[in-house]
Amino acid sequence: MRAAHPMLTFAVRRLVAMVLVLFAISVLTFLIFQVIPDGDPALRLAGKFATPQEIKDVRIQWGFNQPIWVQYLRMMEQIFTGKVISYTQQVNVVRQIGEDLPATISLTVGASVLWLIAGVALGVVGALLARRGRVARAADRLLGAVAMTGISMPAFLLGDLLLFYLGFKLHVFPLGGYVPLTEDPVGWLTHMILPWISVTVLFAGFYSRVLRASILDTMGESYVATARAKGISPRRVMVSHVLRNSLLPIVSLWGLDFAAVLGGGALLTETVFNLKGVGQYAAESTQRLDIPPIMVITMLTAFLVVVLSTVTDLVQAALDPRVRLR
Amino acid sequence: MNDRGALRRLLHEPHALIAGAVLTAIVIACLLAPVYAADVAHTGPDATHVTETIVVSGKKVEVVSPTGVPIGPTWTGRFLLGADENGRDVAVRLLYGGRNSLEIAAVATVLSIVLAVAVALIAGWLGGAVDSLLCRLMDLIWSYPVLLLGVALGVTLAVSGIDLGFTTLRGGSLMLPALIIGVVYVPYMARPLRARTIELRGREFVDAARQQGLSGTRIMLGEILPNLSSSILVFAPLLLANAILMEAGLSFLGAGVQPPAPSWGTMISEGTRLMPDAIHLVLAPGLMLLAAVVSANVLAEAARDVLDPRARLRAQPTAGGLDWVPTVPPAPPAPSDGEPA
Repeated sequence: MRAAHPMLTFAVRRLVAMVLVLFAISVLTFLIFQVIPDGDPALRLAGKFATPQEIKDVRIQWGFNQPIWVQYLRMMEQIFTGKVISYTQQVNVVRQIGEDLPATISLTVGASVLWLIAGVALGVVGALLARRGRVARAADRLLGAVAMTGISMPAFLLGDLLLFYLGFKLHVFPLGGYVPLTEDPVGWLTHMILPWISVTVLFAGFYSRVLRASILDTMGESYVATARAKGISPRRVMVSHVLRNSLLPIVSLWGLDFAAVLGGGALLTETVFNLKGVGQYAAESTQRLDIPPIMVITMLTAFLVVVLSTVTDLVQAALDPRVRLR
Repeated sequence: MNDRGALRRLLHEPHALIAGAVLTAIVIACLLAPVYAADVAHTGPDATHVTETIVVSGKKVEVVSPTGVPIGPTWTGRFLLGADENGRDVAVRLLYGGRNSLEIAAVATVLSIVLAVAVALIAGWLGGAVDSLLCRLMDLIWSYPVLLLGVALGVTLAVSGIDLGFTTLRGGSLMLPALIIGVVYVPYMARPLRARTIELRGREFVDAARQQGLSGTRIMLGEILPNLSSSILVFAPLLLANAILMEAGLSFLGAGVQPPAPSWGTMISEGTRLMPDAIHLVLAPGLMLLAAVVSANVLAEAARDVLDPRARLRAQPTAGGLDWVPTVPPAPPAPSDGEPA
């Protein structure tokens, strides 16, 4: 019997894994919020001045009196039919996320391109400098210190400082908020630049360190020595032998980071710059103990992470024949 | 490799020495917070001085102006780094807040290490169903957006507290954020350690120990654990750096240390609300936080270079200073050693 196509097996395995992860995450999220004693959603839905009878009515109307697993199934059904309503603001969560997505997409796409370029440039320069003379090594150290500061930077501190000095003091950029691209392209750009810079600083340092280490590792590989011994020019060895292989970890890292930021992972940056994106919605919903939006957003993030990691695995396999799809 | 020799070499790395000195200085300064408060600032971390005036370079100044703007740094004993909107001394709160931040981070780091080592040893040694179960559990924590998981747990537990069986943590306890951060970071360390345990299990010296009739527990603790120590030493400062950032992030979002207790994260959060008028409220805790995290990260990198030069622990849990941490999905296991995948 002929074995199934490896690509097909890979795709099916990933699909099954994704469903399991989404299921587990949704159960975990539901349970975390189920254990709050003071978190009875009926109390919040009924409002501050509700009578016990009104609270009871709300409890029955929303099904909070039913067993946990029934409530869980009901919520999952509502999520997948797009009818899920948040407890505190009582708006359609899926529609709300749809409204928040443009800001988050703007943040993710712009910032991910910037941090990739900056990270790769810093990493390559650092690796090249590290193998030269004294002065060059000192410059590499300096780049390393810059990268380390970026890695260690708390997102909200950086955002606050950018807003204060470039917004309040110099009036170069607006003080946070989001303007849709379709309404006002220039306003969109000026509102996005600071958040982009902020996220880029946070990520580029880490990328440059990973890439620098990866390049230096690859330079020690025997196939690089072989290529050099064959008389291939150092520049070509660097580009088509060293860099091509060193970029592999960066590719998968980038895919995952992209997915996480797109899924609302930049809670702090979005909150500081008041972008009103998915991440800020997630942060606000957790503070309100509002389960439905958190369920949807965590599942969205997990979904994106699994999809993007599958894509990066495929890219890796295409770039490096040693990588086999499992 | 001989770990003692490695430690000596670490002490010869100038940047590791500087980072270690900075971190130690911060810790000592925070420990001396009561001394500073009593003898220099003459106030406590929660004492308010809203309606008072102080004399700065010969002039009388209100601690908090009638419009609600607190004074900035005076660079003298009282209100060295200025006051906050409630007229509290920022320098005093910075040191007391540092105690809370560092205490949480330290407890979380120790907790992460203990749990991760336990998971790695048990899963790696026993294998089979136990291994699968523990791995799936790690995968689950790993694929959950870390900050969101932390915030969700922090917000729910801050209201209710948690009953751990042997002890009960009430809402507002510092140990709550420590517990949350400690648990959330376990997979990042448990995965590589488990891979290393599996690799060590097949080595001759483990076989030899087995032939001698040593029990599984003794082999795990006596033979395998010492061989994990260099990885643990690399991970410890890294976890500390991330735990400090995570505490600040949680507190910033209201899911960590609960006001009025100070921590660097809550202080920055309070300062952000008063933003254009009192940037010192953000700068003081922010720069302190940054200094502590940079030192811990530099130490981690130096330790890695010295102890574990080829380790692929480089794909470590710190990306983008906390805003999020790379959630690596379950499918690809962490590479066990320096071999290419």
